[in-house]
Amino acid sequence: MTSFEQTALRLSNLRFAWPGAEPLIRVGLFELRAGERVFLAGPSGSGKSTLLGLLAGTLQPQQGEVLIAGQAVSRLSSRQRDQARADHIGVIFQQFNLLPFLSVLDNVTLACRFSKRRSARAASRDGDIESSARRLLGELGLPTETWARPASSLSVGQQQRVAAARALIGAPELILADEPTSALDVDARGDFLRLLLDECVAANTALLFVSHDRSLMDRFDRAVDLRALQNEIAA
Amino acid sequence: MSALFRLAWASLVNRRFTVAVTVATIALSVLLLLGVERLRIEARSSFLRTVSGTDLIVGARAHPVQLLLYSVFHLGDATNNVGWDSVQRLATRDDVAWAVPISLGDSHRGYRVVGTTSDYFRHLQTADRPLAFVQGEAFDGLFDAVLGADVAAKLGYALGDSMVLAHGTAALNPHQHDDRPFKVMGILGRTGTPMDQSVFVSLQAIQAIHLNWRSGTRIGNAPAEPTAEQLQPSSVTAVFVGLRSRMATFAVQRAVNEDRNEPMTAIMPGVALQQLWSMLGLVERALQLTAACVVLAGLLGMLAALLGTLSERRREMAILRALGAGPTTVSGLLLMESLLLTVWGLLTGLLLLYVLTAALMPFVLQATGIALDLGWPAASEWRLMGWVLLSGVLVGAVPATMAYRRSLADGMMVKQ
Amino acid sequence: MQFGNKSMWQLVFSALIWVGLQSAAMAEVRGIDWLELIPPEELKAMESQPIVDHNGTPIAPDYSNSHPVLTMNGVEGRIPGYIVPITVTEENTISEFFVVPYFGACIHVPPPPPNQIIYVKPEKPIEMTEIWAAYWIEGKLKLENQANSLGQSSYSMELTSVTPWEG
Repeated sequence: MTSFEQTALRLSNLRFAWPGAEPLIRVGLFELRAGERVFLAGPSGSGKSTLLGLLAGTLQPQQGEVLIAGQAVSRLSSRQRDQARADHIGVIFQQFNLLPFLSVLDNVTLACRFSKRRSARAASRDGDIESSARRLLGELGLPTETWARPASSLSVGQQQRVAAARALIGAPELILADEPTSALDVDARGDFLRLLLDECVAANTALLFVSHDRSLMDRFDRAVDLRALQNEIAA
Repeated sequence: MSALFRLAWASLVNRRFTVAVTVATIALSVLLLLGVERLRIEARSSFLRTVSGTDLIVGARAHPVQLLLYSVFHLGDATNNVGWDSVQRLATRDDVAWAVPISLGDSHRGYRVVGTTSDYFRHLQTADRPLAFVQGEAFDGLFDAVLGADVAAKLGYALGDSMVLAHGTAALNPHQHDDRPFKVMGILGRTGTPMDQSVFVSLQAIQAIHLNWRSGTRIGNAPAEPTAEQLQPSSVTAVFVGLRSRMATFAVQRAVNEDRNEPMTAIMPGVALQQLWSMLGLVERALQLTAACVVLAGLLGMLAALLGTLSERRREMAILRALGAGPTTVSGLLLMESLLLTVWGLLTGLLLLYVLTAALMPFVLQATGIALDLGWPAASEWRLMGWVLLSGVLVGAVPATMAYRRSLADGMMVKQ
Repeated sequence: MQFGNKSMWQLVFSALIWVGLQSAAMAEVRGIDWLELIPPEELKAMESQPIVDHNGTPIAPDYSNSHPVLTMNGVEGRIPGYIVPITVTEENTISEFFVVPYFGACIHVPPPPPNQIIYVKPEKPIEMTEIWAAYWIEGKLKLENQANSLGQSSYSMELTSVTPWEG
């Protein structure tokens, strides 16, 4: 399955409720094409974490379907969903993305340790996964002397870039970014986003960027409001 | 699997202070466990090789184990002696092939002096091997002595050297028989038994040096040329007996036990050893149980350390989940960490054991006659280490299970 | 597994026969009685001896008339008795032992005569036994011509097995 003819992400008739509560997620149809970059606005508490869990496959919907890179994941076993996540999705959190006891380089290559598919992609592109990691770190503006240092010794801004490199390695079809710039200085936010977007374009990786910082909105192909998404019957 | 191993290793190295304490605790407990086991094995084999080739041991009436202990192992003292008449009667029985009397009570710089006949070296064996001289031969002249291997080595004696015996068995002794020094006539090979720490002289020699002693006090010098009558021993501590036919063992034993002339006990060494061992068995088991409890304590320390870090590691676990690791992998990480900690503890403990054994070997030999072994671990020791490893993994299953549950619930989002 | 498969049934049948033979063989192990080891004339003499008196002086045993039963040579079977170790190895196993009909009796009962003692030196030392426990000792009786001081031969046994005596 080649990614250029697939959708990176597709939600249809999705319904999710926590046990004993009212349905929290109701999405009729939501789609990301391959390489599409979408800004998702939504304040915390509006079900954002739950939606991300459903997208990543750590949660299973009671009704509806989630397609990741053309693969229907919501009816799979949890182990299969974990593998799909490893193979097709890169995740960036707001902060504390890295394992502090590993070096910068090891943190980046860790993503490939859980996915043979991404390992293969990285190797076919750069020779081996370490070279791929180094390339990405270089492109994201991290000085070479930081690569061997423990991740905890870097600044927040640098750590977020390392997180981006990890999400990008092996060219996954989709990156889920949950408020990745919210912990950075205002000045640094623009730089970070530019670098991330450049990389996504280069690898044709779709990006779902969740944030409340609307100043960044215009750099994306599309902007969607989470609350509006919830009430949609059709996109 | 190797990814998990490297993650676990990096994670532990990162927390090196806590890890070092945990490893040290396990190592010390393993040291105790293996140390006890080693001593137990060595003590047992050391005892068991001491007695062989003797059908009966006869002494004044006493508990069989007590008689065994003082006559063979030179542990403790006899409260009474066997009269010379009884010794003669025993030696001249039709069914007795040989009888070797021994006389205990003197010492030389802490080593026991054994008064006996030269037949001792011909009949007594250890570990089914006869006694061998590495230098010289049995005593011939009145004031000749034969040394056990350790006595000669420790005190640096060679053939022809002169030595002074002391009265009583205390190590530092003001009561010296220095009016009658002895000449080293022979040195025995190593047996790994209390014989190595003994000095052998003739029965007559014991008599000779005591001629001027009354009630434990020395009066003047012993006579230079004692008469045969003066040298005749009146009693001995015990007699080792070999029979013409072993089928007569029970009959001779009964005859000695029921002797109307003197209260005596005859023991079959194998049976007395069996009794000794069932007595010691309780002590052995108590020691083993204690050591096992200490190991458990060490592992519980590891449990506490791992549990303590669980909350801090929620973020770490969420990151792994985001990368595609399942809750099984996350709990596997903790299990791998407990395995690594246990293995490091085991190896360190083993290393400590060898270092301590090497350092303490000479002292233990001197004090107890037990020769510690620096060889490869015995089968029982491997088994113990296996149990420790298994226990470590079982203990690790506790934080691993908790991590599994939390990771399952948290997913990749940690609700801070 | 198909029913009606001939070779399968042959296998089952042979197995059953084998099991049957084994249990038959086990039931065949001859029990040896201690009294069988004493010649009839000596048994008669023993019966005319006074009953054990715990108040009197112990009777000194006279074993110059104790002889083995020559026909017991080569008899295979098992005998219940107590194990008295003669030689204990460094590994706490027994490499030589006596089998006796009773052990640790009071001093008013004489010790066992030579024809009530069996000497055993097994090929491989046996595990340490308990002094006060009884065992089935199985093997082949032999008469050794050991010259003891009374010029008699005595029983020994080629050991097959030692098992605890259950009562």
